[in-house]
Amino acid sequence: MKNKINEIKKRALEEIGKAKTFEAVEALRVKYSGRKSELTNVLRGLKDLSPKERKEIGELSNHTKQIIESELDKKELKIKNEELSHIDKKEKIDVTYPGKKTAKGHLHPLTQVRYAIEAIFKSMGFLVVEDREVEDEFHNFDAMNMPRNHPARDMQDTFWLKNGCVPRTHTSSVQARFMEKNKPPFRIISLGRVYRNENTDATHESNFHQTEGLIVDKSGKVTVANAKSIISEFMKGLFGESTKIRLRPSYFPFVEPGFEFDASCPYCKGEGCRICKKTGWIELGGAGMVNQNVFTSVGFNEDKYEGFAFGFGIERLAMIKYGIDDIRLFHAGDLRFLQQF
Amino acid sequence: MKISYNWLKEYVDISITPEKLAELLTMHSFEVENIINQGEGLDGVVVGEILEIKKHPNADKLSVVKVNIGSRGLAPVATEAKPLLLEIVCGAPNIDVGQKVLVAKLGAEIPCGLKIEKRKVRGVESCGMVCAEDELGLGENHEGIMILDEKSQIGTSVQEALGLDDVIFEIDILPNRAHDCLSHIGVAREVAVLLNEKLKAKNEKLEIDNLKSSELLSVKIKNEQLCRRYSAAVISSVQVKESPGWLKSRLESCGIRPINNVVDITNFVMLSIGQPMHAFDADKLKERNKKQDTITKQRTRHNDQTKITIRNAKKGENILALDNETYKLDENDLVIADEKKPIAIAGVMGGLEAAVTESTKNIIFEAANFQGTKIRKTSSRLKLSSESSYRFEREIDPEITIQAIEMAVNLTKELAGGDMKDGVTDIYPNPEKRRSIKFNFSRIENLLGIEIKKEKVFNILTSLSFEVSYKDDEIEVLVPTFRKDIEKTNDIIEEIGRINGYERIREVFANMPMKSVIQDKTLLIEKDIRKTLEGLGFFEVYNYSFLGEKEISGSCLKIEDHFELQNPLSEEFMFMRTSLLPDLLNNTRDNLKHRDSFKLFELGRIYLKDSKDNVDERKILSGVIMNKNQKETLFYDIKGQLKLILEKIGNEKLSYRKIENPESFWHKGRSASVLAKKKPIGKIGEIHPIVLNNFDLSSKVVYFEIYIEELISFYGEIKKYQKINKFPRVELDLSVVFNEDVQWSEIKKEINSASDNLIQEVEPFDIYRGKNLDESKKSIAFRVSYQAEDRTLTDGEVKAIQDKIVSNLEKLGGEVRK
Repeated sequence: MKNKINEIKKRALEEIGKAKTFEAVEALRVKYSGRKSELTNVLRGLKDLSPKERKEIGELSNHTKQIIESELDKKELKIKNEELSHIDKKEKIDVTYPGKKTAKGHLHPLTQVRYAIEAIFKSMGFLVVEDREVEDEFHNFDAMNMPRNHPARDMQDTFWLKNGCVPRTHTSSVQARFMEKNKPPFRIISLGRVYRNENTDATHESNFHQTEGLIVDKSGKVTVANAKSIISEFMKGLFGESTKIRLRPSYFPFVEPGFEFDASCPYCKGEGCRICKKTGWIELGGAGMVNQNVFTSVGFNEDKYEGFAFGFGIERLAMIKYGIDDIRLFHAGDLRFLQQF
Repeated sequence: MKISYNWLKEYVDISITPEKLAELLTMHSFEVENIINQGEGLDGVVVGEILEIKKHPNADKLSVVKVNIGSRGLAPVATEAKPLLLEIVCGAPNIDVGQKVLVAKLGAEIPCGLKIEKRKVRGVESCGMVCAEDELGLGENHEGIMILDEKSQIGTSVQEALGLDDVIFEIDILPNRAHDCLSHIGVAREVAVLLNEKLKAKNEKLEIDNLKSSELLSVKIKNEQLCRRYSAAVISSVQVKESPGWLKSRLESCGIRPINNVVDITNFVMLSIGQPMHAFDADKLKERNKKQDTITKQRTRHNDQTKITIRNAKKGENILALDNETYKLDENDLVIADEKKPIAIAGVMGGLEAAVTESTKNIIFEAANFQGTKIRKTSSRLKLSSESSYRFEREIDPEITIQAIEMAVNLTKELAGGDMKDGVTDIYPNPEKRRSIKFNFSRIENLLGIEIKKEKVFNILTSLSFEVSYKDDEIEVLVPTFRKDIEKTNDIIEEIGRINGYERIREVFANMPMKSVIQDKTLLIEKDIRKTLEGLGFFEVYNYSFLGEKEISGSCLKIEDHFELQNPLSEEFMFMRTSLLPDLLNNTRDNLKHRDSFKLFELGRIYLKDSKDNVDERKILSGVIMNKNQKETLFYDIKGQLKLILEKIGNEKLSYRKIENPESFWHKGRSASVLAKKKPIGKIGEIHPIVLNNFDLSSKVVYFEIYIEELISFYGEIKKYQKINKFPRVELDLSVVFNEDVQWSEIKKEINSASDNLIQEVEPFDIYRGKNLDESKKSIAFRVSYQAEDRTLTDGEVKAIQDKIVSNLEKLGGEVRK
């Protein structure tokens, strides 16, 4: 019997070795491992053997069956893998054919720039606040050291509502609103829509957006040196670590000293190009130390506090960032424009 | 303001190029917006003399002129430019033989963009061009060609002939420096400080004793606050004529048209030192009713004095101004008047009647100081502004009137002859005091964040004409009267900072507390909404806050609900919007030209009227869905998406019901109010076809609006974890026929009431109408999911619930389809 089993094993392994197809392996499985297999037939004679022999033969036949089954599995896997190894060729597709179009939404480029600005300032511990867009004359002008009949009001062409309110000409009005309700120290930014009564062209809009920033603390704790670092950190956050800034003295009624700030051109890295009009610098906004008259107008003790305020246009930043040459596109609602962002 | 480089050089030695100077000024708060090189682009244009004029054989309006451009003209621009005599075809009507004109030679490229080439004009060869003013960029005149002074040298370059050797800077003078820098001396003073040079002093003293008041004049100021100072001088026997070339070119360089020598002198003084002046014809002004001509005779008797009063205009008074317009004055306007009536609108414009003309013999020069706000009010009320009003509005130093008179008188003697026998009348009741500002030296470092040595501070401030004294750590600064912008300590520190240079200040991190910042909920909600909508395939648009009447009424909104602008840019921008719908419909129409389906949203503000007529600003999210190919289910598309948006904000379940008092733009059968916690938070629905028609839209538009402020109360509710149910779920479908008017909300309620806790979900998946069904019926197919939390449900349990569902639905008239 032992011989018979070994003979079956030998024959089975030979045949398995020769099998080339899935079907052949299946036939061999029936022949050598199924209920009606040769091995099963042989084992029918077990009952005539002594218990000792029975045990020995039983173990042998089990072992043999395991070997045959394992060989069958191996062969089957081998044939399967062989078949799959051709699949690359068989199922080849044209990868240059375009991908399936999926409807994707687009946030407005101004929203995207806005959130980028917010993220940088939030990381520096700023609170983002908002306030009214339609202001009274006091908060838009007087509190900002621009009394009525002051020529500084000429710097901004103003819309007026028939009820005497002003669609704010700058986000600076938020400074006054915030300081009326909060005591220093604080650092805030405010982003929002402003209005100027200007004829529209590629670089001028009647509705546009600004960012306003304000830091106030005890006198001596906020200096021009700090202002420079805040502007610089912001610009690095927006245009990259190598960005440089410079301040040019200027005048805005609500700050003193006042300056404009420029960033090194992110396109040519200060070499001079079309975007920066060959100067290497891009004018970005205005800033300065809060004018003492502004503190007085909101009821702060002007000798006790010092502050730093800054402001810049969001459209302008977006135009520089994306290379947009016409400001009117932002409010045109044209999906061919919006889908690019 | 236009500032001449050559003029500046009369006040201060400048050793750097105009470009470098412009850069220096720009970096020190005087932004140079433009640099104009006067002679630029005019190479190849020379003086020629017209020798002969013939009619063009083939054209009535053209002539052929022979021009001599002399031997100097030989210097070739192009090689063809050889001949001494050029034949040029010319169309100008004002040419004559013997005239000196400007000739652009072959090869020249002139400012109007023309390149001069030899070419045939109607069959006659033309070898150059005789130029008009505008073609050379020298002015706007195109009436005819430019005729030069007959003394002009043939063949000289246009730059030499017209003295175009200057460089003009267009400088943006900011309001704080408009007191002193709308003048060449003001800018020169800055330049001197920046270049570390001395300002060249000019001696303008009069030979006569100017302290003695003129006996020919009596000046009376009614309100000393409105007119701080009035200085005047009488000059007799002047010869009014054209100004010499140097003076005309100075004025023209700065954009002022020369009139005659006397008027030009007043403008020259203004451009030099910033004091606006006026010249009156003394004879036209005094005792106009007598019409006598005796002013040249010596007058000492009191009643022979010319009386000038600076007073408010009287009701009903008019004045015919130099611009030939008549202005109605009112009691708030300040005027200069003789005994009868106003002769000038103070600080704004003189009257035509007392104007200096060629026949004027005797003049009165005025250099006054008027209150800025007063002048500003009059100028803006009359919509009349001038170089003079522009300066007065910005408040100027009252100390400089005498200097202005001195300059004007000296120049008049030089250019117009004349005689000043008398003194200068000077009414100055409250002389300007120099402001004194004291502060502790440490304030400088406290503000600038940089240490600047006392000596350096001293040098900077004295170079700016401040007087400085130290007492221990206290510094006292005496401010010159012309620096009206310096009022407080920070103003002084700014001067120190800007002259020292901001580039020297290092960047230093602010020392601020490390604190977590609780950001504003509304802004967080907006951000969440935007992100969700972006994920859902929406495009975000920004529209203007302004709307026109057409859009408002086209959307069936009420005009009277809108705030109106006093001074709108145009008709489309007359009102503040109360809805985002009108512009979203515009966007929809415009974009339909390029695509068939899209989703838009805007998150912006609307401006409502509250009960007291105040502006009530609200934040609103509005959107539209447009799909030309799929119309019936668009409402449910939006409804499904709104659910996703609001799930992101909080846990509140939404419900929908009919809109109470809907605006007329809604399709009333297909719109609903959206409620959360029983409070309306928005609306969704189709837009009424009438409105769509008004916007030229023919496809259905589904619209929604959500009131951002209403979301705040349930923003940020914590989402609690639900245990995952491990027991099997049984899903069974039913199809039930109902009457058309039975609503899903009722059906769902009945289904759910069939079991307390074993129905997990009910979801409709099909509505069928038509074949085999009565017209008033619909068949709704839905799937019910049964599941218990603690065991596997038996078939019997499920069957029992299902039977209950069927019997519940029968109450609604439902009939199960087999």
